[in-house]
Amino acid sequence: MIDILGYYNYWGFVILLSIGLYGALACENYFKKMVGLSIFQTAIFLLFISIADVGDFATLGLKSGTAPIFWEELHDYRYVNPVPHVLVLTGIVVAAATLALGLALIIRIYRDYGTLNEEELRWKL
Amino acid sequence: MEAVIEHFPVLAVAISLLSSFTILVTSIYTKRAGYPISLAVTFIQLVMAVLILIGVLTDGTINYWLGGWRPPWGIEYRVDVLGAYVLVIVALFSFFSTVYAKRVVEEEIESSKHPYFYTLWMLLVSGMVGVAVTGDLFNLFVFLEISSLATYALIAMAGRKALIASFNYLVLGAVGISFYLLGTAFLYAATGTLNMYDARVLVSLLYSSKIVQLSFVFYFIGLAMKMALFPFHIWQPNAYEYSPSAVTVIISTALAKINAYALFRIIYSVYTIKFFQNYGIILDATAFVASVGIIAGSLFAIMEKSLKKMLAYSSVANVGYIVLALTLGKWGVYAAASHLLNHSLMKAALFMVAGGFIYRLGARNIDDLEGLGRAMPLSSAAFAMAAVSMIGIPPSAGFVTKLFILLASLDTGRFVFIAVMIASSLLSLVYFWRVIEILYMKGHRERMDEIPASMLYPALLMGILSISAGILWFFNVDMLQQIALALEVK
Amino acid sequence: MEIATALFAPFIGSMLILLFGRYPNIRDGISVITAIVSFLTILAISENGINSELVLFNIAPGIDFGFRADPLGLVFALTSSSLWILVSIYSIGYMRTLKEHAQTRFFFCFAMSIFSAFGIAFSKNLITFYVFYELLTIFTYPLVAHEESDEARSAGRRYLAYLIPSGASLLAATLITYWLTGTTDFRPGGFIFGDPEIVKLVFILFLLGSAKSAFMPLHSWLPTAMVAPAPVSALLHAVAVVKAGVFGVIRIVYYVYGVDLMKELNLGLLLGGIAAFTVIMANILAIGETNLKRRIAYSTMNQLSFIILAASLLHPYGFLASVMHIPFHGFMKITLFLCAGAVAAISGKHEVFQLDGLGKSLRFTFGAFTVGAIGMSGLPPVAGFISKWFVVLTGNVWVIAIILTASILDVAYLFPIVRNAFFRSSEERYDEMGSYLNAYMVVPLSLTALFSIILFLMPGLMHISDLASMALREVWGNELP
Repeated sequence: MIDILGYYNYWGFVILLSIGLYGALACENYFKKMVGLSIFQTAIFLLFISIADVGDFATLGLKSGTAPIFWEELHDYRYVNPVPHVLVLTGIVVAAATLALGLALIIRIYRDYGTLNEEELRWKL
Repeated sequence: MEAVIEHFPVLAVAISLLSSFTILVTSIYTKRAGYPISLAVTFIQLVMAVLILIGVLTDGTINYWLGGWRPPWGIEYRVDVLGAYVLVIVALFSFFSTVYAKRVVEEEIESSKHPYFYTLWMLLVSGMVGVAVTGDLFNLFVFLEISSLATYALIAMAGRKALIASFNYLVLGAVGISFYLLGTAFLYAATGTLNMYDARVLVSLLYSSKIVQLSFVFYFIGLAMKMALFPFHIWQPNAYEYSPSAVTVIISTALAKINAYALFRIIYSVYTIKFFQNYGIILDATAFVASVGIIAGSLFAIMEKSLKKMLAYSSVANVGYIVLALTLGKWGVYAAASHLLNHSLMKAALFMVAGGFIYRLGARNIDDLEGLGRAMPLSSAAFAMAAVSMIGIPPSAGFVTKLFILLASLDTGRFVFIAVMIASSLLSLVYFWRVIEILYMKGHRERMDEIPASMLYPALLMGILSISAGILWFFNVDMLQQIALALEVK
Repeated sequence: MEIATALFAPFIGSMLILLFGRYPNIRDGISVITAIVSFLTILAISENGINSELVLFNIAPGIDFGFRADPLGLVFALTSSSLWILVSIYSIGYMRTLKEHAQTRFFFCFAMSIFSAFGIAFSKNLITFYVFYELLTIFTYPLVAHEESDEARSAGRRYLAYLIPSGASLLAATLITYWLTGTTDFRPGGFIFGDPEIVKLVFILFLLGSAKSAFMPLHSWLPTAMVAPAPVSALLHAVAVVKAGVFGVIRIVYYVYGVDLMKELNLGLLLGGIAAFTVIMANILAIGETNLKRRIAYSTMNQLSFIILAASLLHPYGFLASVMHIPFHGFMKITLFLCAGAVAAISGKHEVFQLDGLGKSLRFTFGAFTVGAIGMSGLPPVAGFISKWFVVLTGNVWVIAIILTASILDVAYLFPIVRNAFFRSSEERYDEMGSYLNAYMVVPLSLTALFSIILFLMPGLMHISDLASMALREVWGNELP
């Protein structure tokens, strides 16, 4: 039980991913779609952060949580892989750009059609 | 010269990125700089791409380490034969789409927005060029996103209905690219590397790992959404139909091929064919999905009344060809690689002429085209040549793909795909011949002006090439062999 | 080199036709000159270039895209090219008399169809054969649907609906052959081998792929295709397209399967059964048909299946009959079609019952028609007799009975036309030599009728009998009885 709960960050990822995917694909409101999309992307960033924690490398004398550039001097620090963090930074930028573009489109759509409901818009297409 | 060519991959990306900002800055002084700059830059890229291809064919793969960081730590640009070949496709179709764009953009987009249009246009081009040259999985994601975001905005520039089409594309595209990112996360968790060639080595030890298998599934779903493989094609018909004509041309040729190329890369350079041999089920499932897509796309195309939507559904079927070919061994690689070019040639001609008909007559529906065969003989000829090639009448380019796929299915003993190919050929006969019949054999119209020269001649060139490429390919089988060799497919 | 000239002359000619589309006289002149050039080159090949080869490029290991002028192919090429000269002159008269639209498209597609027919004749292997087979379908479509009426469009659709799937079947058969044997090159005496069941299946695929030869039940495209202008029906649906079909059947039977394998697998009987059925049924249908061109089209089906029937006997005389009947039937049938076209162009009549008494004014036309009708029925002194006589020489009683029945039926539906045209009275008078355009039509059709008789007297004309016997020796080798 504890083992399963111990992966709470992964559980968070799974739950967020499901909520996000549902929101992006199943919600009828365009704005909610964008919210769902953001949650979906955030879930993936959470996964990246989680896998950056590579756990104990006892054989190398490393504990989880150490930044690799320090590892020779500071054996007692926890090791964390920095690359996923960098990837997440880039990913956030991309996600923000997508969100911005999506919101811009929503504004234009609302101005032109007066609704954001998918069914209504599909009918007008 | 060699030393210079080594820098071309990064230069090709850099000049178009810089040019897009240049266009934005010059827009303060003049609104007319966008077109000439885009034309010049895409032309330079075309020259570079051809030189890179020649260089790679003679001297082997080009490796470029960004910032001098050695892979797997740094980002590596790696251009092998396949990459160089796709780079040429991207550059070629970007250039001709740009040539084509001038008049339609003047017509369809208000002049105050032209600088923004070309800014986004060049961003799209740089994203595509980047995908072709990069050897890094995450870098590929970034470039795919650059090109996708630019595309969403470009589609939306047509306004009104295009806004909805663009938004739907954005949602599915973003979900798709997120799946790609998810796949990358899983692969990174298993191997700890982002470099494709490093990952290839590390993955080869981990074929039985569930994480690796799952990561492939995510990659596949993500890219399938991007490239509109059935059943993820729902965004495509509307996006093609309502976007500005020039944008339809570039996204149906270069961008569609770039997404297919990304899958090609991931299948053959990261997971390699051995992975699939170990897990036949993945291969079978992929081939099955592709076959269903081929048939379903063709059936949808038959039912469609609008010309551009019909062509969009035909693209759904043709993406199916590429994915199907990817599962079929050596001849399959030949088929997939040659179809990247063949399909672009045909679709370029078809969409260019379709856009031209809208430009001249506002004719969006197939029934509006009556009698144009004699009213606009050259434009119609370009369309007819490409359509004949789509059907796969020998000796056109489309026939070459089909022949390769048929040989591949014989070679691998999967005879069911012979039936699929023949059925899809006959279905495409039905929907393309309907257009040809209406163009040439129905109604009468007085002679009228052809579509403008800057639109007509690229279309005509593509049309002629889509017939003659069928023969030209057989003089270039060497290159296909080198591609297969570089991917270690035997 | 000569093959390249013969093959690409019509191709270049068609491009020039497209280029000079605005100048009708130059365009039509080019069409005639191209026909003459390709005929002379092919004649030269059959004199001193037999079995010369031309390979363009390699498609896959064991498959070249190449050409070879073997005796059988030369017979077909000679037939098409010699008749093309006459028909291209005829079509100038026909198209201009009727003031047809889209004449440039017509002449362009016509030349391209002939190009494809030459490609079929000279194909070295099945893949090359298939490529030109499909091209022929595509380029004859605009000719079938030329009239652009609803009827013509639906005829065009039906044309494609039969011939393109049939081409796909041919491609499938070709690829399976390649998979079985690693080659697709035609070889006298055959080359295919493998599991008998698969080989039989492939034969059926090949048969489905030969829908161009219009055997039943894959025939219904041919009568409907008669909405096309008369020159098209004449050259393409009496010579190029349908002969490409039967030529393909002969190729497959004797150059892919070979006599021994055909006998071993008992495939001759299958082929002969289909052909015999068509021979009789086509004639019965012809009797009930009132449209002149469609009646002649049923006669074409009958004669084509006669060729297949003769070939299916797997007997040297049967082979000779089928090969020689390709040019013979070409000359005779084209005469009939040209007559039908001339009648339609000069008098505007299409139905059989309208022709009463026309023979009195259209003397040459109906004279030529009589020659054609005699030839169809296999009576001397027209060439059709020779091929029927060869079949009689095989001594197969069943086949002789079928052919006799067919001949009687031929007489029953062709001779009444002649009789009514000459012996019934009519008020109408036409002048068949009235204008130079009419002469453009009447002279070629008189010539084809004349040649049908000359071929009876001298079967060696244009080396036809020599080539046929060379092909015979090639196929049978030394075992010739």
